[in-house]
Amino acid sequence: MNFLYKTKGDLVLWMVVILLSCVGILAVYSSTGTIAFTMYEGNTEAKMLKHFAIVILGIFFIYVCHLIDFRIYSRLSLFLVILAAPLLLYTLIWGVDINDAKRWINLPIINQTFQTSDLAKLALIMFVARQLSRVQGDIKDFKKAFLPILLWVVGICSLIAPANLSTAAVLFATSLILMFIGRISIKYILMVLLAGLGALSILVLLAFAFPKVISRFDTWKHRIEIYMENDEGGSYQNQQAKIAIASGGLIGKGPGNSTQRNFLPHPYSDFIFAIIIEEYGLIGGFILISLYLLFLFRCIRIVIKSPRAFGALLAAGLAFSLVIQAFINMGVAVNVFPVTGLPMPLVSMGGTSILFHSISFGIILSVSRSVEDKPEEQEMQTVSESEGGSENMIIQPA
Amino acid sequence: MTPKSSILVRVYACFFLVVGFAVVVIFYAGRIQFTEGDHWKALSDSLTTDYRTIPAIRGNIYASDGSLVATSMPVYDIGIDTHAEGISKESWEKNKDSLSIMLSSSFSDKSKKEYMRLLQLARKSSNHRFMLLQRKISYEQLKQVKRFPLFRLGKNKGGLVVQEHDIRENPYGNLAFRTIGLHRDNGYSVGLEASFDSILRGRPGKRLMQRIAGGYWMPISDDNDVEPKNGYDLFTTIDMNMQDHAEAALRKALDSNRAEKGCVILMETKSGDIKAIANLKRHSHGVFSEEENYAIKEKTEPGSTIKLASVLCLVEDGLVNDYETVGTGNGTLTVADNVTIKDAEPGGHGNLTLRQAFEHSSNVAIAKFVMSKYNGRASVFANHLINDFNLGKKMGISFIGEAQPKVKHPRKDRDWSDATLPEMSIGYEMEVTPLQIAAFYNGVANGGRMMKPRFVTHIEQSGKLVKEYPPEVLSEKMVSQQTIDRVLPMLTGVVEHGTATNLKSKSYTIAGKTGTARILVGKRYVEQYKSSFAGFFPASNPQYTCVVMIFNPTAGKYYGALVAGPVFKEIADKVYATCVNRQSNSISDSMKVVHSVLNVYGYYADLKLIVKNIGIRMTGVLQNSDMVSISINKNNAQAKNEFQTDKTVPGVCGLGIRDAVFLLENKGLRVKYTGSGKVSTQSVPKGTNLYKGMEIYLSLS
Repeated sequence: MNFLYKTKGDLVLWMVVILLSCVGILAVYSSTGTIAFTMYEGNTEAKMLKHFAIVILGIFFIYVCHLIDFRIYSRLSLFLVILAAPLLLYTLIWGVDINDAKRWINLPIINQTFQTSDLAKLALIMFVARQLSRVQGDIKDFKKAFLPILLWVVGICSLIAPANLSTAAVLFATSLILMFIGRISIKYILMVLLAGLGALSILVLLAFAFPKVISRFDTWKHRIEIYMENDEGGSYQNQQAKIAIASGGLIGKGPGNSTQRNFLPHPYSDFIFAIIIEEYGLIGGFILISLYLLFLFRCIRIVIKSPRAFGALLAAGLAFSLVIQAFINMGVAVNVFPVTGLPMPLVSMGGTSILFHSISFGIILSVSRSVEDKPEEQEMQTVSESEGGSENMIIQPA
Repeated sequence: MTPKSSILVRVYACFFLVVGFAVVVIFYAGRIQFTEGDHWKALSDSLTTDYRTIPAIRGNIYASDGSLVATSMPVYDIGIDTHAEGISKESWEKNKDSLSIMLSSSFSDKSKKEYMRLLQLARKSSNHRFMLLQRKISYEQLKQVKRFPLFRLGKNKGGLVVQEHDIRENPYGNLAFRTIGLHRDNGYSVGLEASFDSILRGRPGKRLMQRIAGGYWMPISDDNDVEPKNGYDLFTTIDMNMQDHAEAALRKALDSNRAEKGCVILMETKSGDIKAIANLKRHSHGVFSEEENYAIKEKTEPGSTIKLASVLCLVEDGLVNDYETVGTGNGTLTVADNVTIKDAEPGGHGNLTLRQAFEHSSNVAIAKFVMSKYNGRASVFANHLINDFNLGKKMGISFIGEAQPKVKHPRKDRDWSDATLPEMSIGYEMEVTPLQIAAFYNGVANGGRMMKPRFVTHIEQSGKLVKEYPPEVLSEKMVSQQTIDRVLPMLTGVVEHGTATNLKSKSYTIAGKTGTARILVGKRYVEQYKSSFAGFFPASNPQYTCVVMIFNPTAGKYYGALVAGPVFKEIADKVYATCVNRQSNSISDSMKVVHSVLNVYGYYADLKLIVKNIGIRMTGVLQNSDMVSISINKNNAQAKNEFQTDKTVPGVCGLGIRDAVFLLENKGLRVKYTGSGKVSTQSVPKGTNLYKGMEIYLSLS
């Protein structure tokens, strides 16, 4: 009872977490048929049990993280972001090579691979929220507010980009959104967007010139080529995903009845949305989308209620990061985007991804908890008080 | 605007951006389901699980000497999927030239430019991404193709698509084609392939499989899986050498007599084994085809060859002695209203004994003998033919399509008339197949033991005997030995001083009977004949029985002795020279025909013996087991071993197709030929250096 008593924060958010986890467990169990056949001699439970264990661990992480006062994350973010940079560099050079991409490092002791970009992503968003909240007074100032944040964002993203371009791009976009929400001048953000496009084209040009330097280049190019050129409905993966979606119909084939899981590469991560629609129909897909939107909406409620800029920005940043990634994953499945390789947060199989998204959730709930803890009147008062000036919004962590 | 509300406005802006994106995702998913749904569902239908057939390998058919006459070989259709996911732009650009060159040079059916054009077209097209490159290539060729540029990059990056299937190959081409037969999966099958289909076919297996990522089929464990069971191998009685002789002789006769069609059956006396069975139809311009197995399927009025049955009956029943004669009058005999029997030569033969009547094939005399001796007892005569000689019923051979013969019986057939008995005695008013005539004559040759024609000796599975088909007896004693002893001189007399003196041979005796019958068209006899000769050799110790039947010769001659006889003689000569057991010092003049052929191929030991017997000196000492060629020049034979070690093309002009193909294919050449008879020209000259997979075209005449 003590455990339940201590569980606080927005109950709707908790519900969303539990539902998403359930969807994930079902979809992963169904879609690991092929991998189970080839790797575990048909033991279809092995992958599901591992996923289940990670989900439980993830919920534990959420629980622990939501108990921590969110202000601690502000300081932690500084430490994490400073740690992330060398870790990313280390990964790029000595990382474990899977599918031609060095995204993982092997953790000693527990002997598990771990994707450093997930850590960096979390760290950077927390850090940007911290920085934004600290400079709210001079938020329109280019040198004081904008430039330092931008430098960090560019720095971290460019360390992620060589191995994981899509994560870097999403992180960059999320950071921009966060900066936008944090009242950075729209003018600067447009500037950065232009510069970002420029940088991307330079990167592409460089890659074309020295294809050997960046080993992932071939894959990117191929994916983009396929997306741009193919008028037959995309690559093999896209075709199979579309077959899955089309054969699902409105109400789907029912849990565990997917056939396309056998044809789709990575049905348990990149294309899990296609499998979900195949088994649960368009209605199932709609419900999943609604869950993410509900999640985002509840997070915005936190932003509204949060008396402190850091809490608001932290919740907004993490929520947008998570939801944007979810929608990009879905966008890939329905062929709005070229294949990116981004998993669906809390649903797709993949240890690091689930655990870090759980931590994100935990942090959001921690902010939520702090908001819920306050008596309603007091909160309203704070908001009305804050209308006078910006000082109240600004929290200066010691 | 306050900072707080500014933040709120911006957060909501972003929120609606995300909601907008969610709408886009739903819209796309909906479009895939509703607008394009049918397309994708149709695509998925072709990709689900399936019981995949694992085909069984069809059994081989072998000749009596163990040589392969029909076999199944895997062939491959190859194509390229120009949009295969693994083919990158660079790799395509880099390899398309060299690939076109390789394709053009190895298949030489299209120019390099043409290949390039088609490849580019397929690569650009969205609907025709798959391009068929070649059909029915061999495994060797496939191995080469897999090493071509692009294709060697592997399954996914190379785009090569291979489809395997089996084709039936007859190494001897058209030789005995109709008898070996054809198997069509969904069509009309013929010959041994059809007769023994259930044995050759085997049983295909089935396995439940599912297609998984990467285009692989994954077996799904299922208790209903059936392993394929390969077909049994069939060992036939056909001797390809004799078949070659039979076809060549028949073809020659059909050609020179401008006949419509013909058939030859060669049977081993003791066993009843069918050693050769040739059926040819002649078309204009010297083209022949083997369309029907006349020997088995064509039931006709046999004509004079059946007089042997009449004679056997008369002798067996002790009705005629050696001296009794009948008068032939003016060569005509009216046996009923409107039915008159005539002799071939007008004017009559005077008085004839039974033997003379048989040897000169007098219709009138034979009819008179039978009419007078079986007057009122016609059923005795009919019983002999139907029961003892097995002429009135199917013999029950293992070959499909045996015609139902017809021999009338006075008590059973309502259309029996006064004319029936005399007509039957000379081979009319009855219908039998050439194969029955052969079995009947063979019974006489075999001392009265009538054997059922045998086509298959046994079946095997991977070298292990599965089932034997021992020789079967139709009549243990069709007539007594005494009867045979009395009739045999009549049969040899036909050749010695009867109707077929043109077939006389110095080295051995032929026992046989000519036959010339008018062809019944509708209900009227027309001026068309079928010439036949049935007999066995050597008469002293019969080893082979042969029946030749030639339909509608139009070059003037139509007597059995002149049209069918020479075919019999040619086959008998060749078979006697090569196959009949006898003392080796009796090589006859007929064998010296060999002299005119300049190239002879064979095993050194055999050739040495032959050359020695002919009386020619042999030079060149070689291993007995070597395959050698000898070139004969007056009184000197030069032997050379040019087959095992020599890496050049041998000269095959003058050889039969069987030997030519054997020699050339042993050297790794691929042989294609046109025409029939002996090889007259070869496209690659003798002495040319060989390379693997080289093709050679032969024309025969």
